[in-house]
Amino acid sequence: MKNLFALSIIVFLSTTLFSCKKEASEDPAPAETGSVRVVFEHMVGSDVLEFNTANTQYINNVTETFNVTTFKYYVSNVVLIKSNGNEYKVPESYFLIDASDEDASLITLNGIPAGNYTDMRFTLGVDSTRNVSGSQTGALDQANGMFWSWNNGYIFLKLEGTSPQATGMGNDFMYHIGGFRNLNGTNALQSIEASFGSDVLRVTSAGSPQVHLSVDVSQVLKTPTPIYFSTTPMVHMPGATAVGVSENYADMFTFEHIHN
Amino acid sequence: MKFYTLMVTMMVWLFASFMIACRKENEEVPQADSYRLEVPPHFPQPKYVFENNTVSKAGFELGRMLFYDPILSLDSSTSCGSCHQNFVAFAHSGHVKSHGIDNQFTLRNSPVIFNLAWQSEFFFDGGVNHIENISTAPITNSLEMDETLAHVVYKLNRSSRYKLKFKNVFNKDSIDSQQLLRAMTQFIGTMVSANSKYDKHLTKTPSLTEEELEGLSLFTQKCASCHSGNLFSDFSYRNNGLSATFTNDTGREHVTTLASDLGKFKVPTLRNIALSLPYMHDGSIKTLDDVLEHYRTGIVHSATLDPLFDQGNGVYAIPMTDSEKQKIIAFLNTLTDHTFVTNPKFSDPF
Repeated sequence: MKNLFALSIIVFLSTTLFSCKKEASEDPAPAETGSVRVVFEHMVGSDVLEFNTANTQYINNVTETFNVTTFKYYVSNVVLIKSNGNEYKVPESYFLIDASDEDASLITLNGIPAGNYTDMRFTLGVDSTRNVSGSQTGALDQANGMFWSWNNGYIFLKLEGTSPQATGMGNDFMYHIGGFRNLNGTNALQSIEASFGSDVLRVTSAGSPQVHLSVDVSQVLKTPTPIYFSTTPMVHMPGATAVGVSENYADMFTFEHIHN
Repeated sequence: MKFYTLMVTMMVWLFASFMIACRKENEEVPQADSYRLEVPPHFPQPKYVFENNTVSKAGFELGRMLFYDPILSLDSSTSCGSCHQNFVAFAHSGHVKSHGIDNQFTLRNSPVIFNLAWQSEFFFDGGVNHIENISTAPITNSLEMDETLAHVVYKLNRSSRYKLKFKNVFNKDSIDSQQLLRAMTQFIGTMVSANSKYDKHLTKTPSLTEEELEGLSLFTQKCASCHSGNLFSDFSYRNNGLSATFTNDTGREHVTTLASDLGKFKVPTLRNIALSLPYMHDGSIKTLDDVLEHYRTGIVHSATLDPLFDQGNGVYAIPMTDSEKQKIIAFLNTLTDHTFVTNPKFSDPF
């Protein structure tokens, strides 16, 4: 009887110890990891994007002229893919890209398992879970001005500027694109794939490779839903127009090159 | 015998010390204090349980200070407490529509604040999907406090008093909007109203009068399909026939863009209803008698009108006699929670 009692305590104790240890040190010999930098180069067609320059008048696909005052968007849930199809999902990867700020036009991914990667994928926007999880920090901090307070949800992409044709809003235009619900066709989340072609991203503990993507702002306004400043100077809530614009900008990323 | 006793004692001691060590690493030991959310025995389980935002006295008091501090508004004129007053269950006394900065009026009547932890969507149109996001809406609304979260956070970080208080609660070097919103939630999210005459009747000694009991029975037949359960709302969105067109305020449609949501507003709780006049999302009805009269004779038909009002033959109403109306009002008066509206814990600390 006493033996049984002592034995049960031993079993209980060892279980507790075991579960405790498991949480404390999961990976005794961590595999080699490295970091990767992804640089977003913002363009309008073949020109480098410049802000607020009266002289820089860009032209959309219906020959309306414009310049840009704000261009920001969320890159999240980054996945790096090896040639054999193995994927590494970068945990907690949420980044707010601000094209007007060089430091905020690149992202650094740390703790990437060493190896050769041939593709990457990310979400343009913020997944539905984080849209319904209350207050957040860092890139998702509501104070970043990328969150609708009256109709909760993140603004995935903001393009603002002026155009002489945007007469409806005193020559301003403002496109705030978002919508995470699978409701009434308002889901504007876009998955972006960037294949590295014949290039290979080599991640090692010593190296600091860079992936360069070009981002063509003019694509936001082009196809399949051409945006006219004259008739649609503002999009500021989820809906069919926002989804249309998100389908436009899903094509704005082009893989450029890799520095290993 | 002695060996076993010794061994067992040692093992228990060892086990206990490992348990403590284990817990210390993984979580804070929850503190029992009166500031945590208390779930009344006759309430359902709350939707928000402060999982990542453990309520402390310091956090609650910080939230209380922020709630009553006009620092949250652009010109330091308006606090949350300006339009949400303790003595009327945090509605806005004497105001059809609440006013914010620069004497501007909002579109809607200021709603009561209590029992928020049992709700998952907020405001009359349900545009806010999390309790922690509630404060962002009035702070950034140009008709209310007209601020940005970034600027409020900047102002708080400039205040040595606030910096110290936030550090005490969240133990971070600088204040961010998450800390602001979570501190506010510790205050507004633990406001519980569950001590009305009706609550005591349910949970302690039956004490409703004959008239109030008849009112309760009529209420159950005629009102409780929407104002259901002990929270007195099913928190659905319904068109209750205040307008045919809803041109000023489209309600839930503003959020969902669905034509079928035009003129639908969240069913409000009826707790403390005798105090929180005027009534309806637009504050257009002044007395409870007039509210019931609206449901009896005043309902305006439109495509999205709630089907529960359909009495057949083109009649849309909740039928009731004058005497039934008075009995329902007698019952509604038992939903006033004097303990809650006079609780100094929730009052202005300044």
